[in-house]
Amino acid sequence: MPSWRLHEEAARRFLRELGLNVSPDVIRAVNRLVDFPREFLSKPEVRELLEEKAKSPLDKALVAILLDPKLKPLDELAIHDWGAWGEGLGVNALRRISELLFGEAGRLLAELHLALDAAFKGVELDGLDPLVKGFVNRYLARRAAESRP
Amino acid sequence: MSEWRDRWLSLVEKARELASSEPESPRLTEVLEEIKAIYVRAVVGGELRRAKRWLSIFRRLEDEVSSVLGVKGVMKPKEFKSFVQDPELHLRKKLFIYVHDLARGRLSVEEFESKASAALKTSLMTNQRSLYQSWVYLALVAILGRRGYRLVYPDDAYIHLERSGRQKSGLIPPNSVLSDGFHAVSLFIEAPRPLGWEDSRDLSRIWSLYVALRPDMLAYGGRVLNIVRLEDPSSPILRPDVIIECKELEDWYDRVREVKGPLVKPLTAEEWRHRWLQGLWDGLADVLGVSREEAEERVKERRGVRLRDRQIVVLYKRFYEPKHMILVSRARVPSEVRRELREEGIEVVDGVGFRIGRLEGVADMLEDVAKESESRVDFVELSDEAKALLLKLRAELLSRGLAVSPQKVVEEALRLALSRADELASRIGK
Repeated sequence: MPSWRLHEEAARRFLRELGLNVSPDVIRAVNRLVDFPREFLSKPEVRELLEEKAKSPLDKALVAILLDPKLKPLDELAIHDWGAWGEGLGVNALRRISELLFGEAGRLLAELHLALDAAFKGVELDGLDPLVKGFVNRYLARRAAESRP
Repeated sequence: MSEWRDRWLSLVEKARELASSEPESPRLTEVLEEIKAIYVRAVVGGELRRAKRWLSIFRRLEDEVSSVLGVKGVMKPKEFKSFVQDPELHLRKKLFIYVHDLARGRLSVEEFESKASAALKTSLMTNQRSLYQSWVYLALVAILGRRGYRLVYPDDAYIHLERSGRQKSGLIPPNSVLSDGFHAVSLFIEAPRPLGWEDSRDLSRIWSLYVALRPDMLAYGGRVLNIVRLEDPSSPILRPDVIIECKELEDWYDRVREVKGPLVKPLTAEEWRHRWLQGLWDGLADVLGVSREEAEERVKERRGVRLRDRQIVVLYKRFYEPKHMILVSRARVPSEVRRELREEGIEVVDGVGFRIGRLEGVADMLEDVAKESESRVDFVELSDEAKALLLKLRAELLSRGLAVSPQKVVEEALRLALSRADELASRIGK
């Protein structure tokens, strides 16, 4: 699996390509959200922000399922990589949560994290944003070219 | 080996012989019918007896509600109608394809048993759920009818339990609007549902309806003829005044269901079309005995998250934020589950069985919301005498060369009455 350093470096390049100005704190936060979701979501400031941002009924339901112990589903969604390598049940939840917390850039960064993990695992992930898919292909090709003697 | 099974296996053998030697013979049809009948009774005989008892109660209520409201009858969804007419025959129909496959040797006895018993149990369960939900609905309508409410929508003088095709116009209309002449309550069974759609853009606008959680009943005070609010995609369904959820099983609170709503990404119209074609093709392939092209790309199934039924009830409350939420349970609900739900603001009416009287409190709540929502009532039902007076007044005006609409006559008459309020008050006070 790629290191967090690589994830951060790729994220910076990706954002630069898109012309988005996003704080390094957000990049690190998204990486933590993807890799250690339960721990990340248990922070009071994160819970508060999610409860504030979830306005639509569907978002409220999602946030309730994730945060309220009374509504904890039989399938835990907030697990490492949001279960992307199993049934992928939590991946859409991750997309929406990262978007609620950090906007469109948050969703793209979460997808980028999973796309890089997938590339290193040699598996294909369904439903990736074409922007992310295209970037990852270019990024990995460039890295491969740079590492050639 | 049980007695029915010996007889049943010998019939299967007979059917296989006939299917290869005389596939067109009426004797084969008779044997297949007998195979289905024996199998249905053996696998779900006990449940079927219970369903028949429930159905006879349901039919009595149908008659009562029709007579109380003065309507012509109750319109049911196709599947449910067939079940109500003859549950045993309905279940036998579910085995049609399987029994043919069994006779032609396309299914082994074991394969048949696995598929057929699942189909029977699913159908029975679905229909029993519809039955109890419909009984609760009709019971509430009957109680309100006894209290002087009348069916004012739809105007075809039928109580509609079905919603088939009624969303094609892009609206979600009520199943019924009941009014006592001054107040009204609008009832929706299993709404929201998908609306008509043409392309991806339309679909993405209404996607939230596809995935929305769907409680058994929504109720609104007033005459509410459409609950869709596509202008507000974050909340496309008008906030209900009351949600009523019905549970017919004893152990409903421990059962597990999948909830897809909060987890799925919209399907594009192309994906929908692909699914539809795939389903069509699978159905044809099954009947014709051909296999589908392996190369065909499949749309990946989207599984939902598994929650216990009691959690889903709480989720409905959080999702729709109704003013009141009521859970009607046929059986008693354990006190800890009741407490859990009450802490969430959900009122539990349990141990209802099929006693209409147990739902009087729920009807009180519907009446309360009807009374709270005078702003949504844009009509007053006229008595026969009032209608006759209105006709007379219009004729009188017409004879003086004034063709005036009934609305205008009422408006001007009220204005006149207002200007002579003392006189009116003394007339009414007489």
